[in-house]
Amino acid sequence: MSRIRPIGLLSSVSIALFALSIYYVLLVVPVEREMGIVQKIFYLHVPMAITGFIFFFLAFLFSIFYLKRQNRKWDIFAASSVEIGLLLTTLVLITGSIWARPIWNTWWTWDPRLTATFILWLIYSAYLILRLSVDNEGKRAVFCAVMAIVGFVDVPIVFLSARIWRSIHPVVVKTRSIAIEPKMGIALLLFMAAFISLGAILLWLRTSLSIFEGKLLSLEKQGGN
Amino acid sequence: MKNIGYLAAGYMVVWSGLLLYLWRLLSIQNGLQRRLAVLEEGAGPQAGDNEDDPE
Repeated sequence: MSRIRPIGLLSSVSIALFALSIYYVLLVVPVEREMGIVQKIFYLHVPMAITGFIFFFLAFLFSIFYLKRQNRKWDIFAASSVEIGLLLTTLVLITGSIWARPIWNTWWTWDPRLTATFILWLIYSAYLILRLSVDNEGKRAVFCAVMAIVGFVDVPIVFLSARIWRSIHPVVVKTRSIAIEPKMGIALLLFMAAFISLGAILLWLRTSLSIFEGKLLSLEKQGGN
Repeated sequence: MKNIGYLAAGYMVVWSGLLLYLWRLLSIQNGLQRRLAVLEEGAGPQAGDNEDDPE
């Protein structure tokens, strides 16, 4: 009997969670009275935003580990986490904009939450550009680690922006509770689990590829000598 | 059912974005495998290694 690989198992769990979440959101969760059916974008938008924050936090942690131990492995983990966090933040900005058009009657407004999220997107895009622009591997890893640590400051600002400043962005996830109907809460948690499992799979794939690329580069260097 | 187009657009953007990223990872993997194949070819038997070879 063949052994089940953990990544295969996680992929199956992730696909099942996504299928269940989509079914639940489209067929079980009631339509919101004021916003109508377009409110259902929220079940993707919020879990993607929270999962993005988790990945930026991981990048922050891995960067600290790198600066402490100078092990290349932590630099790879940090870069992969930033890439996944940035992918999710990009999708958060686009889905938010699509939701805003019928609800706020505009695609974009310079609201504190939106502005802080856009700045977050710029910071981590700059991180990826920085990775491409420094040739020296050691220097690149140190610069990027510092940037991931400093850039993480914007994550709590994004979270608190709608609470501290006057914002038109809805606040659903409170510090101790979720201010929505139970079925909506279940849908939110289902998508949350689905995105976290998908994020874990993507992190595993991305880091494996980077490690493989590192080994290949050293083989190529040996071959060149 | 008003605004269902916006909902459909939102869901399509998310799935397309995730699929594009997976496709990117797959193309990186293909590129790395091609580089490995080139490296293995280079490390293979050199001309003149086999005396029976008429070349």
